[in-house]
Amino acid sequence: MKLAYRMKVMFSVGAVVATTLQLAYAPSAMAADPVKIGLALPLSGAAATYGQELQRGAEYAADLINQRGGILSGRKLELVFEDEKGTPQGGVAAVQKLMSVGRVKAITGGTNSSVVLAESSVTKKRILQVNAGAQADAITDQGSPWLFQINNTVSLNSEAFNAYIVKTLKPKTVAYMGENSEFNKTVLEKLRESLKSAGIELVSTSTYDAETNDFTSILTKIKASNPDMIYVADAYPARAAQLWKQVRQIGGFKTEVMSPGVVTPGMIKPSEGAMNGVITGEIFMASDPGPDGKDFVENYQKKFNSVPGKGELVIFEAINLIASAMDKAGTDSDYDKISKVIREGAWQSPRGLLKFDEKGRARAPYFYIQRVENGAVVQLERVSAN
Amino acid sequence: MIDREQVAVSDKKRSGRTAREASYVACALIAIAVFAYTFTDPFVVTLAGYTCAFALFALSINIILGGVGEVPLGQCLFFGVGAYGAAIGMGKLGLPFEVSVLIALVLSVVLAAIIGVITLRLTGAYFSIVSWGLTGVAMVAATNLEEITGGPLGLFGFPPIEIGPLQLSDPQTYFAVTATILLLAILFLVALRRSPFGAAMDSVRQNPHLARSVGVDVARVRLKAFMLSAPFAALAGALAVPYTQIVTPEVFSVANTVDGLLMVLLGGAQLVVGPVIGAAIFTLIPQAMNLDPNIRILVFSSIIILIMMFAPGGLHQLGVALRDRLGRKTDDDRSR
Repeated sequence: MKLAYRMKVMFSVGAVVATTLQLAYAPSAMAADPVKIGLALPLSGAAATYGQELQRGAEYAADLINQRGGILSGRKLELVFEDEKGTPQGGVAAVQKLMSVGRVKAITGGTNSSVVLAESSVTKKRILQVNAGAQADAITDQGSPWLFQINNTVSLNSEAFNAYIVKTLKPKTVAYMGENSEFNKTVLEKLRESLKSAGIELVSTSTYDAETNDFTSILTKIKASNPDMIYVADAYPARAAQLWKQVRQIGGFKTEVMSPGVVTPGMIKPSEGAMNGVITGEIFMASDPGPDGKDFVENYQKKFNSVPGKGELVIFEAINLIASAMDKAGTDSDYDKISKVIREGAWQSPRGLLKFDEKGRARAPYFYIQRVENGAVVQLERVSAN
Repeated sequence: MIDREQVAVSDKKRSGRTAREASYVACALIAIAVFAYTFTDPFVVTLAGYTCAFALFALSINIILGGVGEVPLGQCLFFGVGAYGAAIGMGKLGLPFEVSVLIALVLSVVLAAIIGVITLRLTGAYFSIVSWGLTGVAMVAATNLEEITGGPLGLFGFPPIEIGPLQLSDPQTYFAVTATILLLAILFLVALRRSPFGAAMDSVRQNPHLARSVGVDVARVRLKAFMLSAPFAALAGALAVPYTQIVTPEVFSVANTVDGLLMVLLGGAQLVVGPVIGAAIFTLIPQAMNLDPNIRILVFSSIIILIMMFAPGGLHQLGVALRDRLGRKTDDDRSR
């Protein structure tokens, strides 16, 4: 009796749980649905500020598209956000939830390369994925036919910046120092190549771990070799600011450059003037957006009362790319067709026309050489990539 | 006479218990099968599979925490060894998944023996801190031994992961495999807890000095428990790979251990299935809450605090209290 009773209770509890779960995850079946786009972003954790930037940029893009009447004869865009927590397992969960629960037709987002790599194994040959921000070359080296990348990869950025070093700055000797990370490994590799082919000597290379905050021994060593130029590769704002302060303390170098794509107001401000004179490169500059980006920057500023950064820009472009490509291909789910359209087309963006290569990478139409002056970056040169 | 009667009674009790437990196992098996075949939503099913894998890790932590009473902050070292072992074996050496995992398990036991001999002379906070420190060493090694570990970006892009004919890339199979392994692990741990070694671990946790005075070799028991916990963590790490699809140096992060510890504390350290209950709550509740991520963290943290306040021995305490309230006979056997 008792056992039977217990079994009965167990089964009924199980049934209740099962129905609730089924209800919670049941797809909403409506015709004339909006086109849903899923965004896996770091909305909590250490990288949450990036996530918020991207969320704002994406919402802005979707608003503009919907104001124009949506895509695919009047269907609205609907954004579904999911937190990837800045971890690979978080990314996998987020993408799977977006695909199966959110019923999204495309995945975008992406700030951290490890997270996007994990996500791409889930999305491969199943759904269109546009990686807005993450920079590792490995992501698009995998050869996924439906995976695209908006931001320049590390090597594209390095090539553009190194060309400026070699052709315009023309140092005779260079010393490199940087955090020991995947990102900077490519930076150093590319720097070696460029300097070698230009006959410039790389007199010293020093790397340090993420926990380092005293750089004086490295800097003293570099100072002793008396290079024309110091090249610093570090993407972490607080640490880089500290590093530049210590560079000032030992008297600085003739030419000082920083790896492209990492200098942000959040890095310049805590350096308290120590970064003045440092030269770097970037794919976008809100203060000089060029003819195509003027409207974007001005309207964005009007709406949010702040200048759009690179994060807002790349996600804005990603949402626009997905929407326009689906519209042009006339489908939201024939990914072969959409991918073909993306590869063959040229896409209007605030940075000018974006074109994608066989691997699915966009090359920034312009590359900006910048110098830090009085706590802000000013443009030295705008280099066309074509 | 009296003795014989008592023996008879306890024999009867024991056979009753065996029958009851067999029915539990049968129920669990049915539940696994039903879950795997009714839920087709890959998100729910793979998440459930990953939860089972992580529950194994929580079980491993609990062998040390609930077993001998130490806080193993460095347990993610073995988790990482399992994950990297599977990844390197498959990705770099071209071995089948199961062979890679077996090698990783053996490695984890050897590593546990070496580390255990060095660190287990320490107790309390000292043991926790030293074991945590070792994970830092592992993380630096994984970041820099690029040829083997793929460096900071880690290892990814694996061939389809399979165990014999079982495709782990298929969500339902993945869940069925991890859940079955978890069930086997639980059965093993129940048997372990009832064995003389389980009693020895109990005595070491409750009072090491007293245990030593009655002839228990405390150092040996602690070392054995440590070596036993390692392959569980390594297996968890390896089974997480089909889900995460990438292994980065962050697997050695103490945040992983802390997640596992929370699962143990939520579910209850003194119950073998406690960590499993904790793991289910820990992964499912946040996903089911459809809230802003930061509010979700706030709500979830509050829930954890409340549980710790009202059921410091873990959630199963609430169940026990409820059962006692309903007038059911109290059952002191907490070894299930």
